[in-house]
Amino acid sequence: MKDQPPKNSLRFLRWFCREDYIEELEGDLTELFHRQYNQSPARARLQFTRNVTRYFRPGFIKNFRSNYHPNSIAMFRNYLKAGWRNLTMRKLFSAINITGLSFSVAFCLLLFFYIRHEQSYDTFHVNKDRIFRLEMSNMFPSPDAAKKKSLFSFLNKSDNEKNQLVFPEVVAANMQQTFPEIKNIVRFKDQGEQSLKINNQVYREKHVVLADSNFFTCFSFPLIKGHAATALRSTANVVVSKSLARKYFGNEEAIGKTIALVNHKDQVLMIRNPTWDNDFTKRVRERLNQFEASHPSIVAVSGMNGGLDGSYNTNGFMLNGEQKWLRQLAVDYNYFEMLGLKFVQGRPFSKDIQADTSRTQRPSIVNETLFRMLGKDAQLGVYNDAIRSTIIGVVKDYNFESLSKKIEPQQHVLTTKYEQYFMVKIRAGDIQPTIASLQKEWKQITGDYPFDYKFLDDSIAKLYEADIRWQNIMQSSCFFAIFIACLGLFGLSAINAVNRTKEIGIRKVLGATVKDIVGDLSRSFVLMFIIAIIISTPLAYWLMNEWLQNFAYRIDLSWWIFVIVGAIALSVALLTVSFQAIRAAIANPVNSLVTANDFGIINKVYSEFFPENAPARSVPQVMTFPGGILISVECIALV
Amino acid sequence: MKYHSLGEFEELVLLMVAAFHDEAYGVLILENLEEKLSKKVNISAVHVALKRMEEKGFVKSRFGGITEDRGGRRKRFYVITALGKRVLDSQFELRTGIYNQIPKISFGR
Repeated sequence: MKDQPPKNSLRFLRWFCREDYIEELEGDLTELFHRQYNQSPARARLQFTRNVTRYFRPGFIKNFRSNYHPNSIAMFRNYLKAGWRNLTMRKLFSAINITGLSFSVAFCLLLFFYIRHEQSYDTFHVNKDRIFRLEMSNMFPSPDAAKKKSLFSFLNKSDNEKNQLVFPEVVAANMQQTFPEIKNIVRFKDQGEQSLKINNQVYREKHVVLADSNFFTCFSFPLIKGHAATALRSTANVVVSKSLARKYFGNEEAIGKTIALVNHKDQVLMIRNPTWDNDFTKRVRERLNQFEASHPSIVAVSGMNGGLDGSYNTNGFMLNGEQKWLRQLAVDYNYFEMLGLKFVQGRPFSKDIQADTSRTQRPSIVNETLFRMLGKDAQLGVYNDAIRSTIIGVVKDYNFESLSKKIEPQQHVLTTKYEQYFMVKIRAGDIQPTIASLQKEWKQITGDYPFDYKFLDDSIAKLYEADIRWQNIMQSSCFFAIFIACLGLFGLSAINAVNRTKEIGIRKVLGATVKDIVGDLSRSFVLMFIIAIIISTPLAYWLMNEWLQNFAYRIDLSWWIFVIVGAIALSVALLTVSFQAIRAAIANPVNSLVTANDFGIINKVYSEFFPENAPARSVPQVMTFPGGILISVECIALV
Repeated sequence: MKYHSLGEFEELVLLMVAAFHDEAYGVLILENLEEKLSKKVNISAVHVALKRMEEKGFVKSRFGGITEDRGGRRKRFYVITALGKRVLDSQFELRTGIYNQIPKISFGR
């Protein structure tokens, strides 16, 4: 339509003009436009545009800065203000609520992040839904395999009833033949810590893993360089992580470099022997013995196979037609003396007795458990057919595993040639310098081999890692539980005290002491507490028993433990409650007695103080006593 | 007395609002002013005056019905308030008061 005002000007007006003005202005301008249009359309259009620009001034331009709904901001601001005033009005309850809430939120977040972390790794494998880990159960049933499963078994990592992950070599090929559904089998062996030779230097690396050639096609570990299909095609190939490549080769190209796996099977400072070489071991021993003689800070040197940290050989033997297992440790002459082990019968290995190295006699020292197990056939100095060995000594049972394990039948044989570990007992106070000079000596004897040692007490502490972790978790959870319970109790008692303020005031007027009132206020909580104890004690007893089942050596749960814990909890609860009660009890009753409208409460307390023959009393309800007196009670009693 | 100040043009518009009681709106005021003053007046000037006086409380307004020739937009009708009327009165008294003080002067023609 031709007789419409210019569109662009109109749009401009609508864009900048205040919303409460636009209707009037647009209407007036349009009306004017129509009137002029009849005379001259062009002029009318020009005039319209010119008029529009005249409105482009502060009074008519809308406020672009604040948004279109200024009311909603005011509303939220008002909410915040009202909320804040509510919080500050009752500071105590606000503090209780906020603290409790923040603790719970913190705990929820902790749990959330923990679970998310647990679910976050290994999710990048393309075939993750189709990859399964094989486990094997009871290939070697060990004596405590029959141990009953309890609620807390998950704590014992190396439990024998757990499935095994180590398979005989033949299983893989056999599985693939038997089950055509299996597309691929990847064998995988964590060698643990190994020695690597790079550029003629020997280093120790914590994780050396052997894997089949299809490892990288089955798992989707992204290769930065090289091809997944061919990376492990030959046994001469090795794939390293980015960080390892950087560590040894820096910014050089790692592909094509040589990393040699140093040929060694394995090795109260335990120094790891780096090789199986007999001559080498003998040489090291001699040097260490010389070193011991020349250093007064070294008390003793001993060697052994397997470690006190739990690695040992498990050997089977037949006893009266039954399969039995024993743990075999290869030790040297000094072992028993160094660790201070006591003998029940017989003697330790001795350098002076030729027969101790006899290959036909095969002398050994057993522990009490094995000696008892062998029964009356076992005699000192007599060749025992069952364990095919001559028992020359019986050592008192000692534990070299976590106390959650029972002491196993144990046999010690003599080794003078190969030793996996050398143990050095160092006098207290000289530890660091002695280790330093040992290291120097070690370098001289062995050349490139790394000096790798650990403290025996550290190794033993490792055995309890799971238990200590559990202890920490329990401690912090207990703290939070008690804290939140106390918060709740505190809040409850505060509400109780507030609700009964007037009653307390009247009681005080009638002569109740602070002690009476505190007792009165705390009584109901003590009752609640007793009920809680009755419920929780059997529950705690049951749970603790379940947990203790994991330990071969355990304490008994006596009744006094529960009494002490209950008493501590009760005193914590009473302390919490009495804080409020005392505060209410010492308050001036005048402040709590406001009007004579509280007549109902007065009657209740009055009848309590005078169960029968209550004295006649008058409570004048006068709105304005002089001097701020709120209530006056007049009693007439027979004295 | 800041809010009771009244400019010359504002006074004219206010007089118009009072004269066309309950019928006064932008275009009507404009046309009558142009007629009375015999000169071109800009519509925006009228609106500015109206808005200022509404803010000062001299006039109040209401919307009328929808009419065809305004592009479907409603008219806003202005009415003078009691305060507005008082301001007009005092303005008038002030002027006539001073005017009456003028002695008879003869400008010989």
